[in-house]
Amino acid sequence: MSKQGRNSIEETIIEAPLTEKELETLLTGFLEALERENRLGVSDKIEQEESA
Amino acid sequence: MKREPIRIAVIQLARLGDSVQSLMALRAAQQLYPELDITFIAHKNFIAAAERCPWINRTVSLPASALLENRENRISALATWIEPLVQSTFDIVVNWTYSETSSYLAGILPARVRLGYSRRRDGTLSVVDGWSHYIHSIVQTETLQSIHLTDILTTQLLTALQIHFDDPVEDGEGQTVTSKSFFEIQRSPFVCDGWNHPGIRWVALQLGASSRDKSWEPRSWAKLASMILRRHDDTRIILLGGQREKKLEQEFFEALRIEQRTSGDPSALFEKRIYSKVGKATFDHWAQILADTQWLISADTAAIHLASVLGTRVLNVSVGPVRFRETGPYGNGHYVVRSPSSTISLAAEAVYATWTYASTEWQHRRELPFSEHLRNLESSEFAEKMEVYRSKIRPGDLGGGIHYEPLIEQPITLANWYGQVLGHLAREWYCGWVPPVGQELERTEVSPELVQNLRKLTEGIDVLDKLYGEVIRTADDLVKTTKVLKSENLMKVSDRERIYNLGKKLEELEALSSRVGNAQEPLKAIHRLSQILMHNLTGKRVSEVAEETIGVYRFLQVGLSGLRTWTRHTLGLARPVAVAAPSKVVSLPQRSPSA
Repeated sequence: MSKQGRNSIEETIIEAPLTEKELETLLTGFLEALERENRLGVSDKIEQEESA
Repeated sequence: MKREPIRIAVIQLARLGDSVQSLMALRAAQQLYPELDITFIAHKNFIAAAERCPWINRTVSLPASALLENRENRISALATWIEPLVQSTFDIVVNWTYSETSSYLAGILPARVRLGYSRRRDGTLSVVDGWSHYIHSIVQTETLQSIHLTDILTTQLLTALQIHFDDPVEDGEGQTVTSKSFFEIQRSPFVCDGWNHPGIRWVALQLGASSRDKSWEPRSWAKLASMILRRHDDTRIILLGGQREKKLEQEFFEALRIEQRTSGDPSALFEKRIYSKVGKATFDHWAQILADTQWLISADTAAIHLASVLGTRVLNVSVGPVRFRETGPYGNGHYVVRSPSSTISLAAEAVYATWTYASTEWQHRRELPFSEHLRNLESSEFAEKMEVYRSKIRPGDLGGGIHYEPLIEQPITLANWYGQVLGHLAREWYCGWVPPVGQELERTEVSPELVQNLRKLTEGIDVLDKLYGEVIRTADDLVKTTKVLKSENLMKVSDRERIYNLGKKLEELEALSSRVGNAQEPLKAIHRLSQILMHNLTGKRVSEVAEETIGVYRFLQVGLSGLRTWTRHTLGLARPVAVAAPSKVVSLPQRSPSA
């Protein structure tokens, strides 16, 4: 691997912590998406037997 | 010299098989960067594999059901769960789930470097690193590509570590990732009668699959089991599966009884030679069986990844819409057998032939062509109804990573040819390293149909390349025009008109590129990539956006150039070649010019 691969990485640096409003937006988005995935059977509720 | 710890959080909210693939990539990275301090986040019911890895520093399980059930205080329950994870900034947050839910979590965790899908402060999707562009525009679409997911994840992380932190340790190279001690498990003293007998060979059959359309029929499993037991006295079978495979287990035994009756075999032939652990094994017991069995035969399940990391050989019965080049068993010497078409079902005889070929490698040393093996089994008629591949890790100087070698000569389809090209381009784009063109393409695979398609493609590449060149020139004009302006808000009317016209021209060129890019299948992936790259531009000023646009289209031109080289190389393979003359050649008398 070479450092020429730089174009593969464009970092995002969070300079300041998320504000309360921003955090709430992301937490709400997370829960809504989790609920959608759960309905489609992607999360643990439906697939729990696979681990055994 | 002691290296500073690198704190990394890995988000893997998909299923167990994905977790194991992520763990494999992490293990490879940690061998080169022993200073990695790893936090692994997974769904509560799929955390078992990570919890058994002594080299993972901490695991965090997501109690999805509990969070969703708590309708009243969901946000505060989630905030409480997340709180320990946001106490300090991670050096790297890697989201290897590539899903919507995980992208929000990646956006919340404080990090210096983010890899994978994330969210901006306003909640919009952010896809910033190159490999994630590739996953977004190619891996998660219909387009086939040839790089295994484990290789993508490993390369993505190693490139980031090398760029942002340090070079890998020197003595980390050459260690094997897969081993019987990958997990630290609680071993049971007893598995079943004969388990540790040195004269008995065990074959594990994992029933079921990640989805119904990827499952192999219970009657096919039963036929395969009966063929193995009938023809190999030293072999026993252990059936594996979770609770939801109980029905399949029942159907399997019913079909096996029918097999037995039809063939007139005495019942003693199967008795005590087949054991079922379906619905009975804990994770540790399952892993113990997979580590100790000689062979695992399985459709698309987490078991193939578990067996791979545990160093057990796998025969992957690839059924339905599975992209085995991305998610097949990882390591040397595994086999994949599949049907060449969705209209042909994969026969037990085909799987049996593959297993017998694979398990007698020590005898024929792979010098025996697979077609001859089929002939020996009197199963030649299956040659056209099956595809067989053997996995091989490429040496480092050929780019590393896994490759599945075809064992039955068949012409390559345009989609698979393009899959190889994309694998090549991705390594050139994101690793800064150019592998030899067509290294895994054989002359015999090139069909007249492929040649015809590639001739058409050549024209499309040339047109798109010209359009991209024009975009670069126009964007460059825009940079020159806007850079000299004192303000992007206040300017001369003539400057405003010029900027407007250049912007309009760019729009038209983009629309035209879209038409050409969508006209031919192999150009579609490059076009999709252009859309994702343009969507993720970060510049605020017109000049910044124009400069980024130049970068994007130059990057795409590298792809087109690689595609052109591959097309030429393949068309070159199809040309007739001079064959060495035999030693005694009878020359024809020369014709006179007048004849």
